[in-house]
Amino acid sequence: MGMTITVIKNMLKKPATIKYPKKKSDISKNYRGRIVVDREKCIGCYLCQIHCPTGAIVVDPKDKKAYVDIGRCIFCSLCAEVCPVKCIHFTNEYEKVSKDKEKLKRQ
Amino acid sequence: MHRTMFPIGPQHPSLKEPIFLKLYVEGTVIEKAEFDLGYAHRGVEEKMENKEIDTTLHAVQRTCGICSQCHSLAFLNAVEPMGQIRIPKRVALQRMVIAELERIHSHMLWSGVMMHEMGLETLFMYYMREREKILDVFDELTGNRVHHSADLIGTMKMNFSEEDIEMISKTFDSMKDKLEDYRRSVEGHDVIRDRCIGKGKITRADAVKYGLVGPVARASGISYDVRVNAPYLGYQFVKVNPVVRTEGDVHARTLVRLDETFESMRIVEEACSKIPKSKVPKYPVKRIFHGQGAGRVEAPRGENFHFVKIDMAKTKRVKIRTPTVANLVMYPKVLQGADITDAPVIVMSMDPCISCMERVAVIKKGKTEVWSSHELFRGKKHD
Repeated sequence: MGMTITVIKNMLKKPATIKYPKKKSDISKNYRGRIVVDREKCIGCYLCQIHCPTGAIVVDPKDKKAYVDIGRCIFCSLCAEVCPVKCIHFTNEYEKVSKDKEKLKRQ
Repeated sequence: MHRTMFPIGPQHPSLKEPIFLKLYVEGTVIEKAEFDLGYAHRGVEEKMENKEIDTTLHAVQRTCGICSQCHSLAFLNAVEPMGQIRIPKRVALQRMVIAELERIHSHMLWSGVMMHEMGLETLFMYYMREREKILDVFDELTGNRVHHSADLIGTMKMNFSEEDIEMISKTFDSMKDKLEDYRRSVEGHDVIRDRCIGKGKITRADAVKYGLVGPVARASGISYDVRVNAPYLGYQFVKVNPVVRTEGDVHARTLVRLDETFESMRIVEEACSKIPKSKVPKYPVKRIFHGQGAGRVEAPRGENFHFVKIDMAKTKRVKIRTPTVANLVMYPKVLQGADITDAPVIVMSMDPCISCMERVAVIKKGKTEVWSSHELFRGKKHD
């Protein structure tokens, strides 16, 4: 009897998965998606470059502004914490895939 | 009779970890077992030399995908006493909530994989479905599902709000009945009982002799838990009742982990009710310049140990000893005399996490030499 109830329940229930490209899942409030540097505010203090665990964020010595290589970023948000002017933040965008590796650099 | 070597791994459908088990069999009985390591090369410890302390904290979490918070806690336990940093109650309890949630999801993942090893695919699916809810809680609390990156030296990145705590209790309410149901079926299921009871037996004396840790030791009757024996973080505020069984076989190990899931749920609920209203301190709290120390925590698999040396505000050396190192030495002994069909179940019952355990060591002609990450990348040793 127990088995019958389970089978009927499972037939009437919605699936646990989401049909991804058609329907997108909800994004949490703390979600860390694409990393964005506000280069107007950036003062080129090199703190983010010193602290980055993977070397994804690098300050260009020519214009003294930070640039991010998304391919190397591990989304730990340490750069956003150490930034003295708070010019680094994370957006909700999670589709960051590209076929070209070069496009991921210098964002 | 002819003696045959039966290989399992490094790539094998029944093992998800890169370990090479050599089982010497006569008929179907294992006469002798050996294991070979070194199939996953990692440069974690070398990567953390001469880095900022905060950088190391975020890098050290990437050692393991399942118990990332435990690595960060062990590191913080080693580092924070160096700078005489006393963490506030809110930070201690918040860190503890994440660590205990991690234990729940690790044990549920293990239960699922264990059921899969025994051929019970339905229970595997059920466990994975419930585990997904815990990952959603992580997503809501910290922003990441696997590597939380929630900690900083002396503080945390977020304050848990009332809604967060409510969401945790709501998730637990939706899971508890189902998990109790699954536990009942694991305890009484004929197939599981036949495959588990009396298999892979570890006596108390052996567990003491080989220095086993975590649920494997607790299933053999040793009441050893770092949370109880050396309380860290918020474990002074919340009492932990260690789950101990005396049978020492695969079934006992399964039930110890399942019961620990419920115990962790109770701890999380108690810790959530005790979180004070104050906010976490602002980053940076304090800079640490010199010192060395060790930290240990109870990871889902057992005792996790970190040794850290800091010089000129940079980490000079981080030594990580994961719980699998302690439990792995038991394999040859426990597999000896077992039937070959029981080998996957016995191997899985110890919850091996080989990839977290591996460090870089290249063995050449009997001599051991250590390579740096740069040399590994180039593929040859500097002269």
